Amino acid sequence: MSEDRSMSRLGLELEVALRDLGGAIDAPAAPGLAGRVRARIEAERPARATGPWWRTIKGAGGPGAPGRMPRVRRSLLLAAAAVLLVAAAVTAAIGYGLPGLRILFGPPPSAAPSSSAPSPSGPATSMSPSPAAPGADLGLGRSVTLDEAAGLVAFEVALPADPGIGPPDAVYLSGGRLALAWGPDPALPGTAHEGLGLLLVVIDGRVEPESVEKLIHTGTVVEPVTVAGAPGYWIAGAHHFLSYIAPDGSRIEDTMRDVGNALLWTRDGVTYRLEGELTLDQAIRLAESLS
Amino acid sequence: MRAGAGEVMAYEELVRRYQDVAVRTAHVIAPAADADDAAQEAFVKAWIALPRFRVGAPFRPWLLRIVANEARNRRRSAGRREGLAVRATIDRPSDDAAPSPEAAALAGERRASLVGAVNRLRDEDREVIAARYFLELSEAETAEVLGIPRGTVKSRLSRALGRLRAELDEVPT
Repeated sequence: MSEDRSMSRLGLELEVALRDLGGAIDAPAAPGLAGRVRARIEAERPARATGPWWRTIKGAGGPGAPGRMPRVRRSLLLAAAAVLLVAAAVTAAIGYGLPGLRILFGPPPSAAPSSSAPSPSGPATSMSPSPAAPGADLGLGRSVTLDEAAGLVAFEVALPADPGIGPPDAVYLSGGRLALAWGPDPALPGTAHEGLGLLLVVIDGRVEPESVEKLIHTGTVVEPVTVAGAPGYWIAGAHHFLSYIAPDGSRIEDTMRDVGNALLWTRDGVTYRLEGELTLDQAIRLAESLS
Repeated sequence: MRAGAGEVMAYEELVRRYQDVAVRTAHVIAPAADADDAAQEAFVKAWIALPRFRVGAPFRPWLLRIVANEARNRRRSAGRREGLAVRATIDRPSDDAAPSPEAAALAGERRASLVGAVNRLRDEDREVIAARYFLELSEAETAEVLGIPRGTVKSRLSRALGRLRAELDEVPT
């Protein structure tokens, strides 16, 4: 080809040619890169914690204990980073979540919604769920009093500060999952479930790291939000269920009960899920009032 | 289970998702250096820096900036300069008629001359061209990955393309 013709052609098509060249660049990751990175991280990780990290979080020292924030924050960040993966690759198999749970999009499990249904004969200290108690028919666990719950869970039970909301009308405990239920009340946003004004689920658990499963995207809206400076997610729309690993290692599939939208966030290593017919603003205000 | 093992495994999953683009980035920034090694080091540094990552910000450009910095550091000590690794085969455009042998040869020549010209560019010029065309990053991503203001991306790219044309002009095949 003549020099002129060559140059004119290259000039006109330079950008196309560069993209074509980009496609031909041959620099794949060598096999085992991820494993080598993991080995490096494990080798460099300080051996300061002797137990599982959720115990470190909960352990002596209280809020602000040295060495606590970096680890908690990193796991939150990993969850946040995973959200971006969802956006980037809807059809790929993705698991993600806050510490304590991961979110899978898809139809709820066909079997019983929870592997931890309330036992027919609970301990003597527990009340029998009254048929009229809000949320009693949702399979949230065995009914306990708020005081009992405070003694049985490994985290501090926080309640909305709004005096108009007051203490919950019913409390359910199932493994590391505590559910606080309020009955219908003008001060509450209400839920799609009859007899339930608001539901707050508190989970003591950890993310399931091996959580890469085939997901089906169903159009559920997930929006990363900030709750009192901590990352969280606003979930609105279709069915979703959650899966988390309790500190004892057991896995619980937890179908969300379609009582409304849900706000998820973490505080002091504990995962909170606020459910009801709330707007995002209402949910965040309520979440930030927990004390 | 060891402390933090769950987080490490979650991170390993992130590494798997981004390893190819990370190695590719390291290679186009520093073709002479070991891209796989640079990417590995960058992933370790990103893990350490993760607490400084702003939640809600895009993860990919944040990571690739660490990769690019690591690759640049290695570029300085990589010694003799080597060019981009490019597959020799020419892919047939799927939406085009099959190229004649002559056309395929021309395409091969064209690519070879282009590789040569890109390899002769200054690092700064090659970086911005690589980010936009080889990695297909947006302007905003390019700015973050290269650590330059967004407005600079446009002007630098325009100048880099001009110099690339000049290179092609000087040594036509």
